[in-house]
This record gives sequence, structure tokens and C-alpha cells, in this order.
Amino acid sequence: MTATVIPAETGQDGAEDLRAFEAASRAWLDSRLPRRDAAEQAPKYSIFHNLGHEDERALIDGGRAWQAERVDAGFGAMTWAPQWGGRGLTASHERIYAGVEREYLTPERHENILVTVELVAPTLLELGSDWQQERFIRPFLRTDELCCQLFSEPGAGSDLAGLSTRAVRDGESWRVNGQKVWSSGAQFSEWGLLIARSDPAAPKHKGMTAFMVPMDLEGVEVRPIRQMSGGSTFNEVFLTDVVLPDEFRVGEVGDGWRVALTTLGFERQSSAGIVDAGGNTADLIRLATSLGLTGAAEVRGRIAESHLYERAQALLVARYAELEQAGAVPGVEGSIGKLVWTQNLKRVGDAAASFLGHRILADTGEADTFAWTQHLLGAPGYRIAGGSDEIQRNIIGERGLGLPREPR
Amino acid sequence: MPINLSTEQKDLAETLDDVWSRIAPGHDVWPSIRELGLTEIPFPEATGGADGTFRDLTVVMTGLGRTLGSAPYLSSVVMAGLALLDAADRDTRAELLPGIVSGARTAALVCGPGIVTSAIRGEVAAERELSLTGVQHAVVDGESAELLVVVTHGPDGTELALVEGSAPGVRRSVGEQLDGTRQLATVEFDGATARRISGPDVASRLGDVRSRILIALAAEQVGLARRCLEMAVEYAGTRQQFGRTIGSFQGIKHKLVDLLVAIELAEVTVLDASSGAERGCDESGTAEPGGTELASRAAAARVLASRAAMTAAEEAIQVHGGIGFTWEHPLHHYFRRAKADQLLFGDEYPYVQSVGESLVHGRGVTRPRRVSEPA
Ligand SMILES: Cc1cc2nc3c(=O)[nH]c(=O)nc-3n(C[C@H](O)[C@H](O)[C@H](O)COP(=O)(O)OP(=O)(O)OC[C@H]3O[C@@H](n4cnc5c(N)ncnc54)[C@H](O)[C@@H]3O)c2cc1C
Repeated sequence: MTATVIPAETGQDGAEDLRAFEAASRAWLDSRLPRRDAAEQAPKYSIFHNLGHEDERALIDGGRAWQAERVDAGFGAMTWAPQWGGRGLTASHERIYAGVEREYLTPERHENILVTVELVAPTLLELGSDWQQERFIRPFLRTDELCCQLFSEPGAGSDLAGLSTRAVRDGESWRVNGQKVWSSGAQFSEWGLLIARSDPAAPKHKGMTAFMVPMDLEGVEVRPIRQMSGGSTFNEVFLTDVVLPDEFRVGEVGDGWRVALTTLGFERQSSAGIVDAGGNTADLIRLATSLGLTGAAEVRGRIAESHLYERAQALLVARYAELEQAGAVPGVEGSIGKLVWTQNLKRVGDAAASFLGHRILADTGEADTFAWTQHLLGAPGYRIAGGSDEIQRNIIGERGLGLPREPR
Repeated sequence: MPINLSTEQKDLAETLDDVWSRIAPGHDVWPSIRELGLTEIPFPEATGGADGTFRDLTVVMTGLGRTLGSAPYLSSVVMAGLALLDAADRDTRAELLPGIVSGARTAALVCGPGIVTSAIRGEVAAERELSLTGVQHAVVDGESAELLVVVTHGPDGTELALVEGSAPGVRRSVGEQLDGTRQLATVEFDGATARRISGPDVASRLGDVRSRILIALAAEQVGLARRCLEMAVEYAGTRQQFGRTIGSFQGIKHKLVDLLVAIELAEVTVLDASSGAERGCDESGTAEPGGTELASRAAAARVLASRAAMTAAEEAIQVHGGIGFTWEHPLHHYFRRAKADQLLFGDEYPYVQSVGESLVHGRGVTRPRRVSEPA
């Protein structure tokens, strides 16, 4: 994992600028939101949502409104160029803002918003046509429209390049047939970023092409799938004779793998940092205290373990951000971050369950106890989503440690 | 303070790597340490020191961990040196530190595994004198050091005492030991006369010294772990079995990735701890104790670094197969050192407990920075 580092200018001015920016962020948030510590706040342990359709839509709409407000005030897309409604600021500014924002009670950020803002928008910036950038980037950054990821198929998950949904060229348009699965937020999205096979004769990585798909188009059918955690964040998507104009094609014909890799790269980077899902060490301490268990060495040990890794993970994410800021080329940091994050989700869930004992087996009606099932039952999902543990380890082993590739 | 090393610190790490990369574990690197002035790092200029940062010191410890070069660096500079600097009285510091700072003399800290505790009793013999009795095992460089800085217990509580290693009533011996690259001696006192050198507030100052020692040792453990991983990756990239390079087997690849992840976590924790561990005592002798915050950062570094080092040494041997189990292969020295480091100041369990205790009692709950935006 050696990255070339070009030291950044860190003059006095830079530090002053950041301090001023922090103050401005706080002033703006003060005028908009209650502070987190002052607010009466029900603890939330869920990792995935377990809501009815309308409730989930309402939650997403709240998140969208907040995202648009942030972008308009210059705090939502701050590292983006002014052309896209951004301010061209640095990752440090973004981190500072994120830190300050956490002090306030913000509307929840649904995965669907993350996918749109953090995965699809940057992918289009890198690979989309001028028209697509003009058409999509700003609405996606403001979440006026949402976009889901139509990658996985029943027969192609880890081996994403094995997908078989077909896109057949027909003059100036394409006809698409096939089935996607595990598509998060497809039922709430206006758009989908689709990877389909356009040339079955080409080697599998070469014969794919990417498209933007309007989800309300004739022939697109979305069927929610219930998750083990209860809710239906993800879906099956059936595509039957869907006709797409060629201007919806993202990148060159046959370049779909590159589009997929670009999005997946952003996904690993992004999920490495999502630490706000589910319960955390502070919640574990509260739980153990309310159950009167803090006298037990075993309990204190589990709390400590969770804290040690949670803190180390936060430091690691900050360290990687610092390296990137200094000009290091990103390598496998996202994959390492994702593994560390999901391992800690599991650590926290297991600890909570062990403290709760019978109370997590059957709801006793007490507050804040059975609710932990939402963490316990959600954690396995993120070990799979965005590439399973094994796939992350392959990536780190081969790209980070330079070990020989496994036969493919 | 940035989490990553500064450019100068990276240069120092590279220099050490260049100088030491070809040596065998246990090779004496003390001459090169003195030549490079590394003994001076953590000491103030007034004592002849380089007034370096604690971070600089951990860079040296990491280099020593990578190579397992032998030198009384942990014992004389880190343990005895920092104990004298932070916890001894002013006259003693003025008199003794210059020799230790230049590396002309070496000292060892005689203490128990808890560092602030010891099995040595000190009876008051005269106003500035203690009479020492008791046996302390596993004293780092306890036989070779010229001077012994002794943590004792007497009627007035914890005291710091100083005695020449060759003084009457002092018996020092080295038997067989698990790790052959670092001397762990038995030091016995039978009514030896020692000078009382406790500075003000000696017990709490020693507590801070202890945190620094743990962080320095954790830096060594991280260096050791990285080197083991490198050896294993190199081997896994060349060794063929079943017509394939063994590194292409997931059983091996994933093992090595898990090591990398453990090392990344340990390293960043050590970097973080080392930035909070600057010298606790200024020239006038005013203490700026790191207290519980420093102690909890040291405990975190201790736990994650012990795990990373021990697993790295253990699994690197597995990846090497039979050759890894031979006397000729350097890995057993790494295994031995990793085990010794893991147990030198008590195994990790009490440190985990100490972190847990301060958390449930609401002390030192520094909520980690949470980053929900992509980096
Ligand atoms: C909550 C959630 C949300 C998701 N959201 C989306 C989304 O929005 N859009 C989308 O397109 N997809 C999404 N996914 C799909 C996700 O990317 C895939 O589930 C994932 O890549 C695994 O594919 P699979 O389910 O087909 O499992 P498989 O690939 O069949 O894997 C099964 C097991 O085999 C192992 N395995 C597979 N290949 C290897 C190998 N080479 N070496 C070792 N082990 C291997 C895996 O690690 C796993 O343990 C989501 C998944 C989840 C769980």
C-alpha cells in the first residue's frame, strides 16, 4: 500500500480559512436546526429501514429537502465546481462541515440519497456526455431526482461482469431485456444506472454498455423484496422491451465495465465512511448502564473492544483523507475501510445482543431494548452490499499487497 | 496535528531502513544509533538533547522493530531516560542525563511489569539514601546497564532510586530467555545502598512515563508486524504449489489481508497516541501530566499493536510453511520478540479492561471523530 505523497501547502492561511469556514458552517446550521444534544431524541439502532412504503418515502423526501437546502446554501456539494452548484472547496472543508453537522439534528440520509449524490453523480462527471452532465448532475446533487444502481442480477453478483441483461442496438435507440436484483431504492428513484450486455460475442468484460434508465418507462417493473431486517429497501427490477434513446448511453459502447468500476470505486470509498448507521459504542455504554451490567468485567471488555476499533476506524478514515488531500493516489483504502466498518457493526451488534440476553429474543415492551434487533439484523447486509468480505479481501490482496490474482 | 508522519520523520524512517535493512535480528546497532544521534531525540537541549518530538522517538522504535536490531534503546533512552527526565529530582537530572542523552552511559529501569510498581523494597537508610532489597525479573538490559534506576516501595510510598550496577549488594544475571535479541535480566538487591532521586509528584509522573513507554513499545510492535507481513507477502508471491503461486490461494491471500488491516488499525492508533505523548515535564520541572487521556491512548495502542504483532509473527510463519519453522529463518526471532513484547508489561487483557472502566465511568470517552462524508 505505498502511495506517492506530494505534501500539500499547509500555510497559516489554510488553517485560518478552515477555522473561518467552520464558524460559517456552524452559524448556518444554528439558523436551521436544533442541536443534537439539546433535542429529545429517540435512539435509533436500525441499519436498514424497516418502514412501510409511505413512511419510507416520507423519510426520503425529508432527506431530499435537506440535501437541496444544503446545496443551495453552499454546504451540500462543496467540493464540486461552481458550474455544478459547488464551491470548489477541499476534502478538509467537507470533513469539517460533516463534523459540525453531526452536532445538529439533521433529517436522516437514506441510502438512496447516498447512491445518487455520492456514486452516480461523480460517475457521470467522470464518464457522462456533456448533455448528460448538464441534464443530470445538478438535479442529482440536489436530489431533485434520485437514481438507483441497476447492476446486480440473479446470476451475477460478485462476478458482476457475468451479467446477462441484453441491450440490442436498433438504429438510434436500444432495446433492453433482462432482470436486475437487489436494486436499493429502485421504487423511489426516477432514474437507474444500468449495466447491460451489448455484445455477447465479446469477452465478458468487454461486451457491456451502461445506460441511464427512466424508471417510469414502459417495460420497467419494480417489485420490492423483503429483507431479513424486515423492510424492503431493495427490489427486483424487470426490464421487458425497454426502449432507450442512444443519448441515455453512458460512455462508449462496450465500456460498461469501466462505468461499473468507477461507481463501485466511489461506493467503497463512501461506505468506508458511513459510520452513522446502527448503534455504536456510546449506545452500548448506555445500554449496559441501563441494564445495570457495567460492573461485569466481560461487559466492560466488550464495550472497550467496540470503542478501540471504532476509534481506530475513525482515525484510519481521517488518515486516508489526509493522505489523499496531500496528493496520494487512492488505492485500496476504501476496501480496507469497508471491511473495518462492517466488522465493527458486527462487533457492536453482538455485544448488544449479549448484554440483552432474553430481551433481544422477545420484546418485553421496555424502551430501547428489542430495538437493537434492527442493528443485529441489519449488519449482515452491509457485509454483502458493495462487494462481499471475500471480494474486498481479493481486491486488497491483489491491488494493495500485490499478490498474484486468483484464476478467473 | 496531522495523523501522518512529517516529511522529516519519513526521511528518518527511510534512513533507518537503509542503514539497518540488511542486518540480522539481534545484531548490535548501538554504534549506529549513537552515530546518528538517535539517543538525543526525546531530551531537551539543556541536557544535550535534540529536543525532538515523541513522534520522532517512535519512528526509531518502529525501525528497531522492523529489524530487531539490538540496542539499549528501549531500556536506556525510553525507560530509564524518560523516568529520569520526568520523575527524578532536578540535581539528578542535571548530573545524569547528559551521559544517557549522548549514549556514553546506559541505564536500565528496574520495575515490575506494571512499570510504576516493583518488587523492590526501599528502606530509608539516611536522608538521601535507601537500602534496597528484593528480586526483579525480566529487567530490560538489566545486566548490561551501567546504572540502575529503581522503582521501589518504601514507607513513603513509591520512590525512585539510583544505584550503580556494580555496587555492593547488587546481583545481576541473565539466564535463558524466550527472546534472544533483547536482554531480560534478573536483578537482585541485598541491602544495596542507593541514592533517593524522586522528584516531586513521583508516582503520577511515573504513570505518565509508563504511558510513553507503552506507546514506544507499541511503535516497535507495529514495525515488527509490518516486517513480518512484508516477508510473508514476498514469499507468498514466489512460492509455487499445486501449479500456482500460493499467494493466489484465498486461504493465504485473505490471511495476509487480515494482517494488513490489523496493522493499519494498530499503526494509526500508535500515530495518534504518539502525537499526544510529548514530554510531560519542561525544563523548570513543571509537570504537564497527560493523565487519563494519555493513559487511554497508550492502552489503545498497546492492545491493537500487541495483537497486530503477535498475529503477524504467528501467521507469517504459517505462510512460510516448514522453512518458517527453521532456526535459520529470521521469523522465529520475530515470533519470540512479539511474544516478549506482548507480555513485557502485562498482557493486553488488563489494558482492555482499563479502557472499558474509564468508558463506563464516563472518563476519557472521547467520541471518535465520525466521518460520514466520503473521504
Ligand atoms: C443490502 C444490499 C443492498 C444492495 N444494493 C444494491 C444495489 O443498489 N444495486 C445493485 O446492483 N446491487 C446491490 N446489492 C447487491 C450486491 O452488490 C451483491 O449482493 C453482492 O455483490 C454479492 O453478490 P451475490 O448476492 O450475487 O452473492 P454471490 O456473488 O453469489 O456470493 C455468495 C458468496 O460467495 C462468495 N464469493 C463469490 N465470489 C467469490 C470469490 N471469487 N472468492 C471467494 N468468495 C466468493 C461471496 O463472498 C459470498 O460469500 C445489494 C446487496 C445488499 C445485501
